Amino acid sequence: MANLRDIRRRIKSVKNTRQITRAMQLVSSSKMKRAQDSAIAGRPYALLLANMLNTVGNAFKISGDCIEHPFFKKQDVKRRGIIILSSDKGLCGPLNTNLFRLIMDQVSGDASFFTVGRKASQFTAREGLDQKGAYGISDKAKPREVAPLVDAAINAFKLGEIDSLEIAYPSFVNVLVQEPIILPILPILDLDSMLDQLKRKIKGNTDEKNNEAREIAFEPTVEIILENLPERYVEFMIYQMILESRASEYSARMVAMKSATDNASKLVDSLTLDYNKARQAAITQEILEIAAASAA
Amino acid sequence: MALKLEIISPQESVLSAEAKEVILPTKMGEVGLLNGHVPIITELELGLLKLINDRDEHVYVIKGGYAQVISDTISVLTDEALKSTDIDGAKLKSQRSALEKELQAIEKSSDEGSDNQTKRIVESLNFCHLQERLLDHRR
Repeated sequence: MANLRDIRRRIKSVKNTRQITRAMQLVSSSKMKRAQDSAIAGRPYALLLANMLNTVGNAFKISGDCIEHPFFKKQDVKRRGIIILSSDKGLCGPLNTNLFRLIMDQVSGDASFFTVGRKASQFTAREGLDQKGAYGISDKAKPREVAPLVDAAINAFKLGEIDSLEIAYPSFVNVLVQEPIILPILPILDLDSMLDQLKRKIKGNTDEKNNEAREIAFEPTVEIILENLPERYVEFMIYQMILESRASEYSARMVAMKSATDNASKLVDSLTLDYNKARQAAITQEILEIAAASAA
Repeated sequence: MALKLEIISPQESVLSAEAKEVILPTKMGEVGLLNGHVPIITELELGLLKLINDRDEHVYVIKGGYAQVISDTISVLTDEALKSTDIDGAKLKSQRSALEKELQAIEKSSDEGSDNQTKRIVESLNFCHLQERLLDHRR
């Protein structure tokens, strides 16, 4: 039977750990709420942006021209560009590991990586993958922090250093489930289906068909609008995904910390039982000794 | 039927209201929109968006973006929009000094690829200036 004092010490340390994990659980849950809220708040913007882009695209379709814009050009993909969104810190269950496994499974051949978060840059360094840039984005994930990443990725695409741009991140299914996925961003090949997807995501907001029969005018010109609109769209999509990956990270951490807290409670219970057994054994021992001494 | 106006920024839907007339700050100058306007998509500049009804008039400061006018619905897509009466002088000041510091830091480091970054900060600064001007005007 273990020493009484040792058991007491262990109970104390496990209780301390439980307190920490419980605090982390609470912090993660409030952060998750915030990340989710800002992701949801951005949805009308995303929808309107996609809608506008679609209108511009349709105008081109009607006139029969092809859109002369690098973002819309279909091309052979020789070198993929992939943005990995990971967390800076661990303690969030298998979130990052699952994402990295997916990347190892699905990405073969030439690929360049842009990484967000420390875990991802560690991963690319460990596996010897080509890393084009590593970016850190703080907890709050402001749009301005995201800008350098987006600029670098879009520039590389425009210069032809990469022939596609994809984004690998843990998508938020619900609090318990985060699914790692790789989504293509550039080139934009099928706007219609993308728009449908977006609308389905924002349930209840099934936009009324616009019954405008007149031809749409563009000011100053279509070309000028096309110069910046797609870029803005891509930028915002990436920003939305970063918010979503944040929500995933925090919910994964919340679940991991909840189970750690539960485990600590279980351990405390069983240690307390051990402790009481040891205490009783010691008392019995003492009584026996006294009884034996008085009998003698 | 009146015009429907919605202003949407990445953070929130700033406004959804009806108006008789809307004046947009576009790249081609100010454009006034009334009922039955030709459908149009236009690029916006940093400036003042005015919403005019019979009795009152509201002014919003917007930071560039795009506007789409389709079947008497005006959708404005912008990075930031603020009602002129909601401008907070103290907050504005701290925002501005933070931006100026950032700009200086970037100018010092001057590594490549910071062009876009500088452009963004200058844009934000201009947004602050416009708000300040509006604030002075009101006093």
